[in-house]
Amino acid sequence: MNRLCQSLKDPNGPSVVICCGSGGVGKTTLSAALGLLAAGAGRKTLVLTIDPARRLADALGLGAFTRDAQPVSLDALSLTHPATLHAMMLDPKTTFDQLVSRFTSPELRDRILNNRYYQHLSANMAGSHEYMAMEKLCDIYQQQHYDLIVLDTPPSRRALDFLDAPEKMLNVLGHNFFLKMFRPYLKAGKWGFRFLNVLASPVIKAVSKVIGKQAMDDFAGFMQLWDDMMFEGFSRRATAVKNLLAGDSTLFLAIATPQRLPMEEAVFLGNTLKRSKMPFGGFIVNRVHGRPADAGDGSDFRAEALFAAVDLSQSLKNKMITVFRNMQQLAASDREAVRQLKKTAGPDTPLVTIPFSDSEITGLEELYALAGRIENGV
Amino acid sequence: MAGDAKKPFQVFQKFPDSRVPGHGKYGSAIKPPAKASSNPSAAIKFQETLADARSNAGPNMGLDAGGEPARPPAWLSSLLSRRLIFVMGKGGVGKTTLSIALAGAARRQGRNPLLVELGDAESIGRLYRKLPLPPEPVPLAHGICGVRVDARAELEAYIRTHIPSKFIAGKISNSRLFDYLFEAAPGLKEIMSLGRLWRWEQEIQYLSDPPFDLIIVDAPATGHALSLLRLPEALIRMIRVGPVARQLQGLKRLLRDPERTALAIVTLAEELPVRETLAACQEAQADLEMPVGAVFINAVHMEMFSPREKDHIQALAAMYAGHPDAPENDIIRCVRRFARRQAVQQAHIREICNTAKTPVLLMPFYYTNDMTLEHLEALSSEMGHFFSVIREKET
Repeated sequence: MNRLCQSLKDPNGPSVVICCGSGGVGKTTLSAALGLLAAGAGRKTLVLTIDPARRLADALGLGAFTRDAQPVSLDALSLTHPATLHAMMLDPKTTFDQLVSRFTSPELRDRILNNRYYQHLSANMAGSHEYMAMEKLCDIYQQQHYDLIVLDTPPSRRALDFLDAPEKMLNVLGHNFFLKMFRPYLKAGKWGFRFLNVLASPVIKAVSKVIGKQAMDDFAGFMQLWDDMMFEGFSRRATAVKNLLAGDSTLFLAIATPQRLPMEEAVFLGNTLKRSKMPFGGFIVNRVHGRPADAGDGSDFRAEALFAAVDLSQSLKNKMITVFRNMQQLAASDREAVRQLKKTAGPDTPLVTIPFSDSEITGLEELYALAGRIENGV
Repeated sequence: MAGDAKKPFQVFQKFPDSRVPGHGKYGSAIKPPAKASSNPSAAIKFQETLADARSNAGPNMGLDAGGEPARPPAWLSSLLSRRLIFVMGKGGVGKTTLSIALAGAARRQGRNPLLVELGDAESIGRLYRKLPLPPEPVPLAHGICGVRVDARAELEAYIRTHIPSKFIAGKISNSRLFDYLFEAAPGLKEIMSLGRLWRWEQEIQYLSDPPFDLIIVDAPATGHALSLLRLPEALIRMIRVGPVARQLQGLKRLLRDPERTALAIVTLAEELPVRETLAACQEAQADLEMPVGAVFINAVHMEMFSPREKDHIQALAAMYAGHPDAPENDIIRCVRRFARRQAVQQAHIREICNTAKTPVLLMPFYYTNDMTLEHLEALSSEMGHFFSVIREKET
């Protein structure tokens, strides 16, 4: 068993594992398999996932509308030890709403939730999905129901986006900057609302001319509610998230496939984590093509000598050999990519490769088999 | 193989198989099946769109049609007749690959394409070794221009244009409020980027000799791209009056105009990308009312063996099973593994064809981990030969 899996199964191992990497490398499936691996070793595990493939979701017992942690039935696996695995699907928008509810009175909560600017913000703000994943993670972590939480990070252009998310959100929503800026220009309106006095500042006047006064009022209304009610709680929260990410109980894994861009992204991620003293657990390279031949690399094949015993058209022979050579080339290319990564990572960083599989994950059994491949991956 | 009779369609490879430089092409012929759509339940069939290929599609469809097509296929000329193409898809499926290949194909049709990267993306810049791409269009190679949209610079320019007083405009750009708004206002960066695209489109329309005449946007991953495209509508709801409101209307008209704009969605023949693609098609066509020009399925293992050849391979496997040490077994195993992978892909391709209401194109798999500009050049030169899958109902 490799070091990486050892630490996941260790009862004293990390209690949060965050799987990151660029899109399309199989983060979601691997997160589920890693969760299954830890659960099989007797750790009470939760897989927190973003957008699983339908069949993976089915295998994990996640319906389209379930937002709570669901127990995954492991009966089909005939495990020797009792094991508990839960899975949960993340919904950034709901998490944002819950966050608002936590820090406000019901009446103010509704005012925030109904504010047009808030609705736009919670659905569209760059980084909000990433941040809400962190927020949910922190929330569940603090409840201490699980020995291990495996987090599958949301798709983003850069694997690191989500690392910056708490900082970004703090910059935007964690400063009571707004009131400092605007307090002098606020005037009391009806029912205790305050409105922007657009005439008071040339800047505000100019901006509201461009985007319209009503949009400006929505914005001001939201920021004011946020400042009054949310600022304290939100900042505390974002700080807690930051601390959890940098803490000893967390482990980051960089997941890649042998293609150039995912590899570069994983290396970049590993370096950044190490540099910022974050707990980096190593690389997983997914879908690595093995040699097509079990024996040797076939480089000594002489095409004309093959299939001598049968009467086979030369064109079919050529085509079969082409398929073989293509696969060989792919395997060589993958091997080289892994070799480069090993060289870059150094001997101290765990690196696990997982062989390419022709079949897709269609059920828990396949997922368990994948967990086995991760465990045996070198 | 045994299952062949049940397959409702076949994909025929029409271009050289090996795309790695220095690797030999092979030039034998593949016979089309006697009856491709003999199965009455077949809802789709693969069709060649090349007019010239159709005319000589005798029993020996040549594999060596690697040259330039005399006329581009209809899907391609239709797609390239627009001025603005958004290339979108799930992360890692090949958006940049398709963007560059489309630009190459456009150049071959005598167009002057502009490749656009948004925000902090850098895939195009990296491939052309111009990192980062500058905020003004620069020539990249082969008559293709490239640019990266810098949302902050756009916003500053926007403020300068719309706020007549230089003093106040400067004061805004330099204020902390501006920094704050730029980070905090969701969609502000995105709408500035869209605005830039719109102005370039207007230049194509109104300049007598525009430096480029087709804008190809290497868009962010599907979810982000869709919220980008949803943005004008969302903002129109929030901002109802003033200059911004008017410009948003213009932008919305551009995005919905099938004469000027198209989405090109790229995917892999795998479960998740396919699901995301179908959902994106649905959302684009129904909610955004945006025209989807084509769906491209990337990294497809093209069919190489005719049903009869597959029978041969089956027989060979049985024959050599008695000689486990024969090197032929390695080849047979490999060929059969290839066939399995193809079968998995075909199931996904079939699902897309049955559901997406657009032309579906198959892009070949390249046996490398490092797509270079050379590969992309080869890909774009084969663009006219991409296999088009057309739903039977609509043909």
